[in-house]
Amino acid sequence: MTPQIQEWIAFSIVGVVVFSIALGFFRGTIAPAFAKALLKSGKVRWAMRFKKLSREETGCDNCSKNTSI
Amino acid sequence: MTLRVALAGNPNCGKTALFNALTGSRQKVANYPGVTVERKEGSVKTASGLTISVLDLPGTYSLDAHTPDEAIARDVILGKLSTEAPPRILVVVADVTNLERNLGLLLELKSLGKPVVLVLNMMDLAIRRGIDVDVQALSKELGVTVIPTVAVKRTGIPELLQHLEKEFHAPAEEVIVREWKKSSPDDVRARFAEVDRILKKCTRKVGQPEIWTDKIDHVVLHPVYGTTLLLGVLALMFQAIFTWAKIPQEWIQEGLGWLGAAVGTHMPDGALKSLLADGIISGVGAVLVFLPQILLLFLFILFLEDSGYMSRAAFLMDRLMGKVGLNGRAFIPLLSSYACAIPGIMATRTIENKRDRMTTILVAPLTTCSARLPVYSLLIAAFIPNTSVLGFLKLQGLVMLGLYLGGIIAALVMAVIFKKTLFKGAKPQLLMELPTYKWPSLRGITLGLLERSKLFVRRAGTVILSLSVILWFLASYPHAPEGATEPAIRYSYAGKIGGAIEPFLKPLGFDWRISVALIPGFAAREVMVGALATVYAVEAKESETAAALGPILAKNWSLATALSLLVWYILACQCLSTLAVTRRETNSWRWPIFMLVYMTTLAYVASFVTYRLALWAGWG
Amino acid sequence: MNLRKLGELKKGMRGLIKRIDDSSSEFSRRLLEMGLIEGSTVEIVHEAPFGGDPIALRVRGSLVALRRNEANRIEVEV
Repeated sequence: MTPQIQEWIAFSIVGVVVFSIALGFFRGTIAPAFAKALLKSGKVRWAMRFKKLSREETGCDNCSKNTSI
Repeated sequence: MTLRVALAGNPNCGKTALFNALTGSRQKVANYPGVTVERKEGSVKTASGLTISVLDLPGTYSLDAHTPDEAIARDVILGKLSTEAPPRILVVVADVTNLERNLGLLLELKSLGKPVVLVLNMMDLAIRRGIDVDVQALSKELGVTVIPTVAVKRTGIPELLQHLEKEFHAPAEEVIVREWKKSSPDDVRARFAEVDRILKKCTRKVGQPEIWTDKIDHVVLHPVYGTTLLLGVLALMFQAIFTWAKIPQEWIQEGLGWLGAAVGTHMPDGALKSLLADGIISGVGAVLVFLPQILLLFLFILFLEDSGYMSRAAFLMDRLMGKVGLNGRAFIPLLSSYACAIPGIMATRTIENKRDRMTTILVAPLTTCSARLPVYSLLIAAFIPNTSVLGFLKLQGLVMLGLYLGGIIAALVMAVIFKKTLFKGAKPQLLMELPTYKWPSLRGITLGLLERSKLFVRRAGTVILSLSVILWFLASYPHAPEGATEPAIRYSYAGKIGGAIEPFLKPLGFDWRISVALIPGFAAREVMVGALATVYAVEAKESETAAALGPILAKNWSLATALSLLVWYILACQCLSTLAVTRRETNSWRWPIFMLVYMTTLAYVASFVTYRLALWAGWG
Repeated sequence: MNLRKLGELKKGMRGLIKRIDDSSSEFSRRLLEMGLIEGSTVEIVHEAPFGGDPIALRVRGSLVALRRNEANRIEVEV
């Protein structure tokens, strides 16, 4: 493994990490804020799109409003 | 086909033990949306294949909620929580040794009209104390099925499951769900009168009160013995964390060393090798090493909580807490914060008074959380000599205890200040139950520790791993130019940032390297050690493990700087997760920001003073 | 009838609850929920160190801890 390949791989890892942090921040803070603001200014469809991109507060996949008797 | 049931009952009735007995490890813990009340759900499959989903609700004395937990319990039961389908059957768990009070909730829930089944838990204790309840008669009087259980021994569980299954398959009766109204004091009186009437009919022998609890309390709550015991317990906790954890820690360190060496010999030099050895293994390893200590701490706290001792501690501490304007119940969240401020802050939801709650939330991070341990251990090992005081106490352990006390004192002082200024208000009410002592459930504690370990490793694998990678990048690039005079890291991005912050931190005795390490250390305290390792390891171009970091620091720092950094660490706000939880609990950005500002100011001033004093003492 | 305020009793004393001050219904309701109801017997089982406040009572089969000034809302017959 040449130094160049090593650098390539290392930089990719750093890139992935930075990207996932940025994504997390976007979904956790920016998207909900956008959704709220858009809702206030009446652009409901765009607001819903951002809402979908936001992270759910609970993060549990079991607590749905299923009517499982 | 799933049957949804919920477990409701008084606090301390053994509900959680029943939940554990039913669901075992098939539990999922999360939060109810919008609030930080814990949502525990599990599932169990009966012999005939029916899946029952069990929701463990927070303990409550009645549906009249006084705290956020109780409000959630009420809302789930009444079906008022929009994200939660109401449970089909309510399993009311009652402590059979205390039916005079426990049955009150049952009567209230029964009046709602939903299907209810009563579980009489702790039957073994009842038999031992001579309490004789006629289960058939009770069932007839109440009009509900009554199932005796011993949750910790799993007795009665099959019967409960059988009954739930029967209910599930029973034809849906015409259920008249009545509207729930807040009870007036007179309603409560009437309810208890009814409880008394029923119990008179169905209880054949009342039995002796629990003698052991009283006997133990005689010592535990004794003015002299009790307080000494409390101090002893705390001292034991901290000494143990330092010494008992050593052996497992050495194992982990050896493993990491082996891993680092493997990378070192099998890979040609290059960026990836550096990233793996100096960045990831070094950074994440520095944190993993502390898993034994953190688990020990949690073990103690879980043990104390489960046995019933915690409420006694709150009782003993109430006077002291009252002097700083807090409720004795604030003692428990504050003590939990010693493991991690995050569950501690979440535990403040048992404090009804809003002002008290805010004060407790704001001072909780000052208590020495387990994430500070890596830095404390590192610096103490490097700078405090391994001598004994008074023949048997180790100086290092004492200094550690001193750091912990520093945190407590800071928290109490800030609590007084807050209560006198921002949160002026009436003194809060106490009113809490002292549950009977019981042997902590080995199962419960093991499950709790397992959960904690998972969380710790996940945090190490995600947050800390990411931060280590980024720090490695910032510390390695750009490379030093040809003919460089200063160490390589000085030329990197990290070095530049450190250089920019350095003038502000110089009065505290921090050089640019410490300044650099504090940046990722701001996001998570544990990372500081790995950051320091990176900042020095990258420079030295060796794959050192965190253990070797100590001597390097001892060589490069003065005692004054080490002390100043320790003091900084006691007080500084270096945990993004704490800020995040504070935001969720208080529903605004104002308080986390305030927390950040006040803690940083406090840390700055205290570090400054420490550094100057240490210099004056000649330790520079 | 020897009516005393619950908060004034000393360790080891027993009483029958006769009256609860209802003026602050929120707190009173909590007292009731915990089992401190007219007709129940209470016994002061423990006093906290350094001042004897708060106190621990046995009532309706369980141990309840509260401050003396909170307990003073309850009048008992000794």
